[in-house]
Amino acid sequence: MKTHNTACDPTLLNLLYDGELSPEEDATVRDHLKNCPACRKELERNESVSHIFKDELNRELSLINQAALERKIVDRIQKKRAPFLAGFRNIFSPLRLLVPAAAVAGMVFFFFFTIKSPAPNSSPSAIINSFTGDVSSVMILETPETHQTIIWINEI
Amino acid sequence: MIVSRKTSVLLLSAFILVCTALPARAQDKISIVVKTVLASQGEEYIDPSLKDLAKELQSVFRYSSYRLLGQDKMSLGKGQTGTASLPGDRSLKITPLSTKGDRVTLKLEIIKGGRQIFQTEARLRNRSSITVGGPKYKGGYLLFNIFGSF
Repeated sequence: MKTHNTACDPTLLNLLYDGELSPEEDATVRDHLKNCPACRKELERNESVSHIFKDELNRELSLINQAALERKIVDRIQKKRAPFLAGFRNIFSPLRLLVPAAAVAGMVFFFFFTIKSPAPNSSPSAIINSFTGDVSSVMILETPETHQTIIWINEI
Repeated sequence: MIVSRKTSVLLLSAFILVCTALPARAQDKISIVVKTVLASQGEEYIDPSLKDLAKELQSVFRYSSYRLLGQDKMSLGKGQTGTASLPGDRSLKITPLSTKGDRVTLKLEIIKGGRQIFQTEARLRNRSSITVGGPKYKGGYLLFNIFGSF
């Protein structure tokens, strides 16, 4: 077992603070601290710096979105294990599909509304292909505004 | 949250598919409405349900009265014949023959006393009408307005 010198040793003080000394070494260093104000002061200074460091670290950690960080880490691990599958999943992820799907839906609705409410038509409402009848005369008329087709027959 | 986004994408895709499929199914049947109108001179009268039609007819005819005598509705497939009863022992037979673009080809026959007196084949635009008129009836003239949609 390695033995440490009980004279003032900053390394021993750090090990004591970190709890990395054996029970015997811990007792020896503590015994030294009782009689050494300089080492006590040094230990207090180290504890103070350590507290500040821990507080700042905890504060920064509390600002992190842990769920997002976790997802990022998982994604990186998956990419490393199966890069093709991760890329495939990325392409078809819901967020990537949502915007184009919404665009397609918008185009479909626009298409239907323009088809259902078309602009006024200038062609006749009906185009006569043929007619036959036991009539004396036939007239084909078209109304001026809406171009409605009218067939007027005179029965015999 | 990932599950709900996937669900919304699937629902949206299904909705788009349904919307595109509906018009295709609607084209299988042609909806026909036949209005029988009596146009005459004399006391001015326009049936409330004929306001738009009367306005069009007044642009070409000088009749002061337009009365709705009857209305028939039918939903016909291609090649299927529907019959509307008309006044004066007449009937109107309508047969959709085909559709192309925004027009449907209709065969219209007017039968009187069991005898065909007039037949025409017309390509009617979707959500438009054709009017066949001329037979005399009770001091006026009968007009048959045929409206088609698909």
